[in-house]
Amino acid sequence: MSNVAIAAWAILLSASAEASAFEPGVQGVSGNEGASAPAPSPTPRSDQSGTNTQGPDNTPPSAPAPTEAAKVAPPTPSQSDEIAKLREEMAQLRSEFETTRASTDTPETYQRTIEFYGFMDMGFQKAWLPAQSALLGTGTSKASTFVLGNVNLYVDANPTQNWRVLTELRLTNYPNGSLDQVGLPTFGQSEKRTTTTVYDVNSPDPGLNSVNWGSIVMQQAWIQGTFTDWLGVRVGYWLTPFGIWNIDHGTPTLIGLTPPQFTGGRFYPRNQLGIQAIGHFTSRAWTFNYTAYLSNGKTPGQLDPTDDKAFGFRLSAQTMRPIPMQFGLAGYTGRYSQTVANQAGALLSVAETEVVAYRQWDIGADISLDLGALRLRTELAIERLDYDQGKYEYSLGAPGLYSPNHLSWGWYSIAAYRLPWIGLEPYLTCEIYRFPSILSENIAVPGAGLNIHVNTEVQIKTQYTRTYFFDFNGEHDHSSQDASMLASRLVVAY
Amino acid sequence: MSLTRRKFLLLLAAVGLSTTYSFASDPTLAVIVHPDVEVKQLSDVELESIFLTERRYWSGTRPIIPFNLAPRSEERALFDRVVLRMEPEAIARYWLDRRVRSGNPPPRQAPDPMTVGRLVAKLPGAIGYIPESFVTHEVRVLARIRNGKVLAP
Repeated sequence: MSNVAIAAWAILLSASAEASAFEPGVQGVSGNEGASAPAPSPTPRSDQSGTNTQGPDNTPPSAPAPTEAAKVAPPTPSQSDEIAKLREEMAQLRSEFETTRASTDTPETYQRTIEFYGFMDMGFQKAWLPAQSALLGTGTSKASTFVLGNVNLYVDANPTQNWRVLTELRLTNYPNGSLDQVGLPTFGQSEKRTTTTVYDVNSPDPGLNSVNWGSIVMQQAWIQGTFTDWLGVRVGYWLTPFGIWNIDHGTPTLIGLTPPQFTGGRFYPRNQLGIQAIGHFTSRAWTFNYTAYLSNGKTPGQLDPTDDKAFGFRLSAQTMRPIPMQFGLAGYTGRYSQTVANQAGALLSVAETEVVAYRQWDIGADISLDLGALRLRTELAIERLDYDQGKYEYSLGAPGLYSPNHLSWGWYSIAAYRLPWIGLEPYLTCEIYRFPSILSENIAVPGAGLNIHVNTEVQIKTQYTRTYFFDFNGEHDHSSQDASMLASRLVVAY
Repeated sequence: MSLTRRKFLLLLAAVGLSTTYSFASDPTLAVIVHPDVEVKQLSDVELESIFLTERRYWSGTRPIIPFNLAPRSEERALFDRVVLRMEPEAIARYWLDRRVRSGNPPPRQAPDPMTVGRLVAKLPGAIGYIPESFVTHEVRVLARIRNGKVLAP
């Protein structure tokens, strides 16, 4: 076994470049391939058991033309025969190695894998904001600027067939430079920004070098046990299964660059900590998926300060026939509570007081269709939010202005068409968002973009959007807040 | 190719259509399973569900272990084209998107049909596809892929 194993490992490593970057090989080694032209299979031969395994007539691959820089004498007929024979032996050894490995594993443990993969995007953007735009209060720059987009790393492990552990981390430079509070000269307050600049005292240069420390944004971290197709359990910190955008969430998979206004935690929370029941049923060409969950819901900190848990679900029906399509429905309800802890009389006695509290109900529907080269995505989300009496929160964080109970909704559609030339995929997008605030009652965000699919793993994405602030009844003019954004990203999945 | 025909093909490509792929010269593939698998036959829809790893259990709690061939192989391209109805680039894109969404991982890959045949024979619950001429008595055939169609064994 050992000789076979050593030889086979050498062959496996040399053959690793043939595997797809997105599919695990039997030996867990992957290379970078996926869309290349098919290559012929090895010529079959009689195996050791003597069973006839004579294969089809495989014509040998045509040799590439030698370049000027690398002209090599063609192999003689005897050398060609020897190479062919060695290839056969290599295939045989590889096959024997895998078979030997399979015979020592159970079906459950044979699936054991651990993979590292991720995506990265970075680029350039320019925002055209009015001189006194409220958006400047978020720290957005009006200048053209390079941006570090997303640096996301997945660690995906399957200890056995039934169990999976996934972690997705986003590496960022946050919170350095984040604008915590705009200056309020009326109240005598100056602007507050976070700085993470520290002297790099580990440097041999005595204390004069400085570095900015960044942070890790946990996107997902969960454990999943699957027991049958119709029942599995996912425990941990997961992306809220609501609509299309929140699950697609990564720039390689999303069509557009600009997230809809109702995502990012403004309606339902982007991530939740809790437990999900998941599964699916099939009927003919359709698959019906369900997810139901209990969670902490939206919380101001790590833990839930209240006993009533948030609840949500997502149901979807999907098929690949006659065209890939999916229809989804999702809901979420939860109570948010924010308390402050104050000393109560005696030393070390602390009392909590609830200062903000509300219950929210969210419902959403989504449709995804792929009509050949045309991709269509549309999503609608509606939210009802009722504050407890006297426990309102500031509107958009502005002190002294409180959010009322409200009904909000958001909708977007995006249509992208893949042209047959150099991977071009232009698209149009439109979004309307109703969120009563001191800025306006509604926001409309039409836009257009172009994705260039350099290959399966690499894209260049560019999008222009114009944001309009308005009221449906037209009573007030909010156009002084209108803004535009041109953003471009180089996106690589790996 | 005449200029008119070239323009016509360009027009077809521009509207997202393409000329029909001819399966006439492709080899016949056999979909094979471990002999312990109780299922007697699989339809194209069931195969699609298994090789997209949406269906992961034969019945109850018995896991399915699907094996794909390497993306560069002719047999893999043929299987994806007939059963999953996707071209190599589309299927690579499909698995990339699935990863970002944290969906089920794709089937394991075996480097060649010989290995697929041996692995399927060894592992209870395993399923794969190989050229018909590679089939041995150690595995059972559940379907055949011939002339662009999934046929009964």
